[in-house]
Amino acid sequence: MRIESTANAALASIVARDFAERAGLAPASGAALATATSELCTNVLKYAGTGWVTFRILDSEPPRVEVVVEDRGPGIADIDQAMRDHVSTGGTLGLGLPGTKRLVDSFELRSEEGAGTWVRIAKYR
Amino acid sequence: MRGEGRAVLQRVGNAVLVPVQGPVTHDLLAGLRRDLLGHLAQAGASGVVFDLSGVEVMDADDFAQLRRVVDAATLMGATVVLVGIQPGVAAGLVVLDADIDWPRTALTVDSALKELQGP
Repeated sequence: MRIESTANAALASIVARDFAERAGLAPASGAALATATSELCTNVLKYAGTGWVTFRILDSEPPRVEVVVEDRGPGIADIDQAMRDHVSTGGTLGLGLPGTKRLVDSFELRSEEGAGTWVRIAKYR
Repeated sequence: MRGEGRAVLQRVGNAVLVPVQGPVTHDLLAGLRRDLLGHLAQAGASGVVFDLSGVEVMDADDFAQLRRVVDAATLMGATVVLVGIQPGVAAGLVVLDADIDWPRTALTVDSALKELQGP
C-alpha cells in the first residue's frame, strides 16, 4: 500500500500487527513489528514525502512476517552514521533506525543518495 | 474508515478526561489540541487525563507530537497525566530510546483522577 499521510502510515502499522497475529506470533512481537513499521513509515513521510509498504508471511518454520518499506526520496548519505544511536539532525529525533532495528529480528537497509531507500524488517520470534 | 483515531472530551469534576482511540495521527492530535485548549480557555480545569488504553501503536514521533499537546495544556495551567499506556507501546518506546522522562503517568483513570484531586 501507498504511504502518503500519517493516517495510512498508522493503517500500515495495524496491518503489520494483523499479519503477525495471523502468522501466530506472540502479541508482544506483533506490537514490536507494528511500532517498527510505524517508525519506518514516519521516516518516509518526513524525508521522502511518499513511499510504499508491502507485507508478507513466509510459511517457514517458525513463520516469519516481513515488512518492506521503500521510497524514491533523497536516500541516506551516511548509512553507518544513521545506524548509530543518538544521531540526530537539527534537533529532531533523527531517523530512529537503531531503535527500529532493536525492535525486530531481521533488519536490512539499502539506500542510495538521490535514488531512495529500501528497508526490509522481519519478525519470527 | 478503519484506523481513524478520535478523541472526545469528558468532564469529570475539575478535570478533563480525554479518551484517545486508535492511531495517533496528525489530524487526531490537531483536533485534540484545538478542542482541549479551547475547553481549557472556556471552562478551565486543574487536571487533564489522557486515557491512552485505546492506542495500540505509537512510535517515537507520535509520542513527541503528543508531548506538544501536553506541553500546551500544561502552559495553560493544567496538570496532565497519561494513563493506560499499553504494554506493547511502553516496551516499544523504551526500545526506540524515545524521550520518556517528561510525562506524569498513572496506571488507571481512577488513580489519576484521585491523584489530581489531591489528598
